[in-house]
Amino acid sequence: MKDILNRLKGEILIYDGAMGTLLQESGALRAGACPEELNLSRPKVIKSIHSDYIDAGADIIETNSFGGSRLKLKAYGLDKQVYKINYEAARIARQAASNEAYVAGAVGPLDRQIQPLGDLFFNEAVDFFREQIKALKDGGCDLIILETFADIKELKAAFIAAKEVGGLPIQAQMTFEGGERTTYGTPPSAFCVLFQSLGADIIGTNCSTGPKELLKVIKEIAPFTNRYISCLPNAGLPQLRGGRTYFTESPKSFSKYAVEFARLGVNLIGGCCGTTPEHIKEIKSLLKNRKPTKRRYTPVFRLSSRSKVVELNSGTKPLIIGEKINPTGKKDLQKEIKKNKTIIVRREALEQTKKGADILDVNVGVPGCDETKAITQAIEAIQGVCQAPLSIDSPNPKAIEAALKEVDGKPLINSVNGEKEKIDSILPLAKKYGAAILILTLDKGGLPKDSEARLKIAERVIDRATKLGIPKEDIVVDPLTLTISAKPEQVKESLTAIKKLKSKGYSTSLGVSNISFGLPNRVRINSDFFSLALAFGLDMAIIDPNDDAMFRVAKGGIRRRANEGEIKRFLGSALKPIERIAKKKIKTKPFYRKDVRARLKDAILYGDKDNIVSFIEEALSKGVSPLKINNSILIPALETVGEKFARREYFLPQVILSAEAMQRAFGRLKKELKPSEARAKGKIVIATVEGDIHDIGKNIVISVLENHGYKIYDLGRSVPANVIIKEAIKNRADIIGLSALMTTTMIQMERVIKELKKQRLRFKTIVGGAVVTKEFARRIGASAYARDAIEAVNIVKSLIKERT
Amino acid sequence: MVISRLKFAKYKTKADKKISALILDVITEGYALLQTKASYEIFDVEISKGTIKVIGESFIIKSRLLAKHLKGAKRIALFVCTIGSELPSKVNEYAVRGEIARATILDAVGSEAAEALAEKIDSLIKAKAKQEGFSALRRFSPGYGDWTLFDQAKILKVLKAGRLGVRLTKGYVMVPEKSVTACIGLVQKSPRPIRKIYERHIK
Repeated sequence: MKDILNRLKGEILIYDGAMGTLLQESGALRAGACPEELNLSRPKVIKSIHSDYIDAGADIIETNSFGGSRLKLKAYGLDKQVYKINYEAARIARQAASNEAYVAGAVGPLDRQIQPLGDLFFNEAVDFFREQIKALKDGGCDLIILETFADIKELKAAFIAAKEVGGLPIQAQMTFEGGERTTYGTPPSAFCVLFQSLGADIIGTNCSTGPKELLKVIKEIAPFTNRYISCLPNAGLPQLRGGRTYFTESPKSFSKYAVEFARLGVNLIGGCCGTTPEHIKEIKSLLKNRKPTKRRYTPVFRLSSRSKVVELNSGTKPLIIGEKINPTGKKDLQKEIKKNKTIIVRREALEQTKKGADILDVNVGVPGCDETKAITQAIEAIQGVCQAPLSIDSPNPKAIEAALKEVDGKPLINSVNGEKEKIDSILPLAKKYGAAILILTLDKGGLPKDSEARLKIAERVIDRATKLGIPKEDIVVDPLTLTISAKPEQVKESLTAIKKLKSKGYSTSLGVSNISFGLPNRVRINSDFFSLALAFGLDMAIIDPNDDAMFRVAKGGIRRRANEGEIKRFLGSALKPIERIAKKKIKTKPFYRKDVRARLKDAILYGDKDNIVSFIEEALSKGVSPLKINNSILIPALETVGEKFARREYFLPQVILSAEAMQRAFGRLKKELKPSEARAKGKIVIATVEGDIHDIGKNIVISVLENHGYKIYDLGRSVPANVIIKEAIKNRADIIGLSALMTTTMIQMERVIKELKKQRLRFKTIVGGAVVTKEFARRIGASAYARDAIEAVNIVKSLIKERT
Repeated sequence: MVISRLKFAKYKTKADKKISALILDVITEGYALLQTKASYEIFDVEISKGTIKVIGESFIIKSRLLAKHLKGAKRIALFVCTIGSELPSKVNEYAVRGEIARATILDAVGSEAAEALAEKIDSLIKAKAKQEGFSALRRFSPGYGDWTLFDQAKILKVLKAGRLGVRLTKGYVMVPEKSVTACIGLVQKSPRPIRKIYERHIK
């Protein structure tokens, strides 16, 4: 029999249809039983279904092994027979097919998610798939079909396993909801870009709600691949009629779509759930002598993430690689990496993509840290918050491989250079995991001076890459640039190298901001140089996305071509150490009024904690008494804030900012007030009750009360009743404030109050919190209930009056 | 909708530029602090008046309101999700430092994120149920009506929530605090559909 990939060059091949649907109809598969087990107990039934499909005209039949992974068989207590069940699946199909049809070893998802979606490690998943695929190969399959996947990372694990088993063509298929995205967010384009790059022989889709939706999928996939495309739809959605399940698409209506698929350039067509030999027969009769439609594929530099494809539109706009996730010279990021945390990494990822970075560079190498672990963690974190494809920036092949497993899409490896060890270790990884590569034109001898020698190094790496099967469009060369303060003449060499590389059809990249290292006015030099490099044909740049000047250049796009005269002019202007841009004075203060009292009032109203202390100083120096400042300026202003909040003119943050400003102001005033004047109006002990950890509301109440001149003892959260009482006695408190958010914890408030009564202690109590109500407060015998911080101030005032 | 949690009234509140900038900044910060995790499982159930018996697990939920809400459901999905401990501990850090405004806004961001996460898990379960011929009812959480918060312990246990780092305090409060547990009833659309068509993918 002719090799299947060879046959596909000139023919459309027909797949079989559903197996499970027929097994159910035949009665061989009882509800709740394991379909794959029938390979052992009812081989004849399986074989006869295979034969029915071959008779109907199927060129390829699928083994009955979709759920044959260890994890799925375990659910039926069959995990000891993984090898046998899969081996038999292949053997039965082989027997049925003999040399008339090809046998595809079917592999489906594991039913347990890989991290971070689930708790399975990537390597474990690869092991489970490898075990199954090995058995299928041994049983006599001609190819492996990975189908019905929804998580792209799981499909990648299955693909790596199939590649590791080796020797058979691999067909990779996902299932898309409504033809748009998989359940886990991958659109057909992002799926296709990764598997084109991983080297799948056949890329396609199956299952889903029916053939109509899959038309959309095929249209989206087609421009992104030159591989064979497959399409195996369901026969529509299952419907129930008279106690039996029907699928909406009849053989006639279904096969109409098959013709449409062929027209779009699909090479393998068949059926999934609900399709029968009649469906296949109909398709076969319509597509019998049809030649596959030729598709157009333009190889272009493309990267992907789980949910997005980024591609280079050469000559129109450069791609921006964000450089900020890099601990070099950043103490806080270094510290964070050492502590195994990822807060800064996530923040940088978000901010860079917000600014417009197309790709994020990830470098987390810190001396003395496990880089493999650090980079895996960082990538997981970044993929959790943004959709940009990644550039894996590490010199360490082990860390690179770990990163390549973790990443959800097709990444760029930054970088490989002309050193033999680098070439030997990194290029095979790029090939295996389907990554693009960035080549730096240096080797053991350092960075060559002239562009010719730099090109030679690049060619040496490219030569090896090509031999390994890494396509040209996945290669980016960075001819490097040094600061012009050291060797200005080298600028020309970098730019010439870009031009030469472009003329040979390679994409180029540069770490543009190196150019101005050690010079004043870097912003100007960087953006001028960037613009110049673009004119020489630069495709992408590694920059700081916060640098607006650079972004303006990038957004302007590539419109012009430059010559050497421009290099001279650039150097002339860049090297003149003149600060051309006069520093504009930045206005720091908002429009405050002239009178210091008015300003103080406004500072409270606007919550300006940065300026309020200086206003206080000013007022004091003008002879306003501290008591007057407090009682007749600040406190009334604070009351205005409270009123505005009550009228809902202000919302919570404004109240709190005012409170914070007041705190600063009072902190300063206290030093001037006489002890008698500074004495607190009352003492309050406040706690979140035992078992409850919510304290944001309590904290707001505290900060507002403090500003109104009360002394607060904050006991924190989850405080037991006896501790609250002890502290109240110790501090001679006037009032005890209790906070609780949950119905399960508010009963603790009652305990505190009961205990107070028992001990005959006469503290006033005030309660509050989300689920607490006035009614509840009365029932448990609290002195008062306050809805919010502003209400609390008034209630506290009256409670203290009652006491005295 | 972070601002509505902060008592922002659409036509009455006037937020100045400074406040808006602060809120936007904290939202970005909050995003970076999220460590979202979730877990769910689907169980067959038997529902009678006021009790929901979870088959295969040794637990029964007693709630008249929930039983009424789940009327007709053959299965339920139980789920737990959390935004992790980094955001709440940052809120605490700000509070201790006296930056109550930042703490309050970040706390609101956390609540909103937890809600959005629950919504997302909800829609994943709905999509999956649909593929299997089930339609999903509205989400219901412990603490709604007469379904006691004490049942959170049972839910966390069957979902092995410890793996996600979610546990309960003595007062039955979930830690990290921005976590959600819920139950979604699944009603069969037809009396005998193909079992789990998408999952089992009876090809």
